[in-house]
Amino acid sequence: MSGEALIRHYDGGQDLVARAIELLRAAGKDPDRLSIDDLVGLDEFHVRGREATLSLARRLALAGGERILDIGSGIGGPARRLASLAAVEVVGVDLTPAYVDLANAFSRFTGLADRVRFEVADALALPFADRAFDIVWTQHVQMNIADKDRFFAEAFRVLAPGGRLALYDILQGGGGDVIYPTPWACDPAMSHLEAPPRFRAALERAGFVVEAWEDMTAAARDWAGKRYGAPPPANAATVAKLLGARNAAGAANIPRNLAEDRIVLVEAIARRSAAA
Amino acid sequence: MNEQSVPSGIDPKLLEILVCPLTKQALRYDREHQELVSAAAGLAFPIRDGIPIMLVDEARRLDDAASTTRPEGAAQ
Repeated sequence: MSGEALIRHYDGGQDLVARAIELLRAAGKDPDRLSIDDLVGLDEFHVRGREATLSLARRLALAGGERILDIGSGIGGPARRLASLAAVEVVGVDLTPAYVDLANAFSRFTGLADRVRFEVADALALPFADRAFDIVWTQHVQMNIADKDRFFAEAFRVLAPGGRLALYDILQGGGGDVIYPTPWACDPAMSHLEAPPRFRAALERAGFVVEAWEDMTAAARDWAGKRYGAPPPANAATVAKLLGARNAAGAANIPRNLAEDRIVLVEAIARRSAAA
Repeated sequence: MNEQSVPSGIDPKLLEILVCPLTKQALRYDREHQELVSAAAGLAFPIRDGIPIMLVDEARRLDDAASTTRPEGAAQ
């Protein structure tokens, strides 16, 4: 796989830790005394941000004690949010070293480093033993992965029997080809969107039983309207400032891709059966 | 507890759960060289600033003849 091209796409060759600290100071925050709420708007990249993480987490109804793997953890906002909701341990993996570095830094800044940790790994060759996790969590990752079967097979392998995959993702809509760039791809060559029926079929082929499947596109359109309708305060620490022009250009196409049904959002829970 | 300080070595909890991404077998922690060694795959994964880089493309190939490397890392 073209790992290097992906990493370059996502990190833009920047020192993200220094940049993030600068942005937080400009926003009037003290990086040494951060709560995870101080990072809202900055550390959750996916469509609907924190709201999407909370919505998917509600479906899981965490009891505490779960071992969670976040595949494609970015700079760790969702992983920290999960750790703030329940007494869980979260490991996040991402292909982009600059993201992993910042993810670990933010976990230290927010006092969560004892339960939330990140490392560099490939979703298609996970460095974990079989059945190591109770929950696998993934948001907006598989759009960069052509081999859905292998992606789901790895998620299935590391889940304990009875464990759940929590997924929130961007799929191909019926409204025509996606307008590029997007936040995940400069051009179609980096993007591997599937239509919902094919995507769900790949999940089931891997052995998962789909327990919940909800189209979140309407909520995503509402969110995009608010998010792009009114700009944040000038000094706010935002993803756009952290990741720079390339990300901003992609993000600018999100409202149109949503409005014209070129992309759809799905939230799903799929289980590895206890007998599997 | 001192969660604010930058860790010097690898997180011990990560060390417990990590396996070789190719063979899924246990890794040996080489503290001196800051590497996680997969004897079965003949690869050493670097730890940079406390972060394990578990990518086969980034791993150092062990040329030591004593290692039980098999072609394509196809243990099992």
